[in-house]
Amino acid sequence: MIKVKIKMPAPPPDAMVKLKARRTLDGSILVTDHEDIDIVIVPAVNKILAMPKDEMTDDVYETQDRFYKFLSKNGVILLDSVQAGNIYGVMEAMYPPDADGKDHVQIILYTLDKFIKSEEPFFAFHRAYKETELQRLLEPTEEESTELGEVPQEEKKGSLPRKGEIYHSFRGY
Amino acid sequence: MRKKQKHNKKRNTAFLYEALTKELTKSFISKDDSKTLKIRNIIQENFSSGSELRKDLQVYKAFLKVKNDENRNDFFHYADNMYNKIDLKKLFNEQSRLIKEINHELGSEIYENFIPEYKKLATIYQYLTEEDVARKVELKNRIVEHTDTKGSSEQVQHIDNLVYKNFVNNFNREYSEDLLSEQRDLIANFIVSENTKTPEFVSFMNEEVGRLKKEIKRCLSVDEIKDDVHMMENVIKIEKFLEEFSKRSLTESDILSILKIQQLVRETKGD
Repeated sequence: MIKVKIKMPAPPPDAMVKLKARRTLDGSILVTDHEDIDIVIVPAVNKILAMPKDEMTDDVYETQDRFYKFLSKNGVILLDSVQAGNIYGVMEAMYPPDADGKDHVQIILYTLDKFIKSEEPFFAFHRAYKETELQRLLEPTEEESTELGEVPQEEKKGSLPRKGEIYHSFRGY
Repeated sequence: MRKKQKHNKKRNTAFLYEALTKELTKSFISKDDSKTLKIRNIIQENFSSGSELRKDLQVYKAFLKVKNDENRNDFFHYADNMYNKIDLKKLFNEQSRLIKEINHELGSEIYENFIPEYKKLATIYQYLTEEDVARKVELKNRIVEHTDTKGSSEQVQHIDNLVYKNFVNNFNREYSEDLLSEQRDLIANFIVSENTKTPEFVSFMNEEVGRLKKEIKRCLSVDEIKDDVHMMENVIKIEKFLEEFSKRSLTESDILSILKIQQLVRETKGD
């Protein structure tokens, strides 16, 4: 009697996402797709960190706020765990440990992709703004241009009167 | 006092050319045909003969050949003459067009390519655009210094994986017994990060500072420390120091302090 073993192909994944992500030395996953913040998933302590890409500004804080609200609405993090991190500009939140054979990191990555896609209008606005600014600097209009070389300074500078000049309003007295 | 001329790498024709050729090599090796074609077209269109960019590039190439010998003044004389023949307004417009094309077609990451002669190119750019005579002479001397035989041997080298691996092995062999495991982790993370602001390093430090805060809090309840007023004061100082990191950015000098705190925490544990 011949025994035939049939190996069934692995079922296709429920969903696939494409993110700019890399693993750090301590096993964390760093996602850099967002334009304002870098997101780090730290599986060792079940934490999700959000840190500014550049300087900490009000815009970055708003992005962090939107990010954690989005995650809590999707049930990924424990809402009461959102707090400032130990390093300036870092915000952190806890996510529940893996249970029922579900890999929570996979769920978080899927949710991150959804968040980054939902932020696309913000990115588009920033890109358009940068583009306009670049255009203004590289190809200025005639009104905003000066001749190349030494530009002679104006005879009178500033808005305040020079020493000895009398304000118009006092001339009558 | 006149302000020093600042180096703008996007207006440095030789830098743009080097960055493009570097990117071309990368795309060619990774077999990214469409990118290779794009870069080749950009170089061909912008650096064609007769263009001001080409003339400017020739000037940079001439300066790169300057040697510290009796002919160096002739080199400067002819290179200066070449530069004076360039139509600066036209050059500015051509550079603007090139920058725009790079930003649109290839992305701004191209400016981050490692250029070994970057310092030299920056000095030449400053020399060409400087108007102050004293500063120009100073820059002229610096160009000669850069191209000096001794200077060229000290060229910045890009570290490859083998060198890095050897460095890590040597480091581990030398310090594995002298340093604590947490100190080694901290130093390893610091070395592989370009600075203290990289997300990898910040993420690592966020956890480490959190751990140290907890440990220092525990120290406050240790009898030996509680009984000694002086020690108590110092531990409170450390606690405040660690709290500060949530209000200001981490600097390189803080790393040394954190290494010492790690040592202290280990001692209080009695390990």
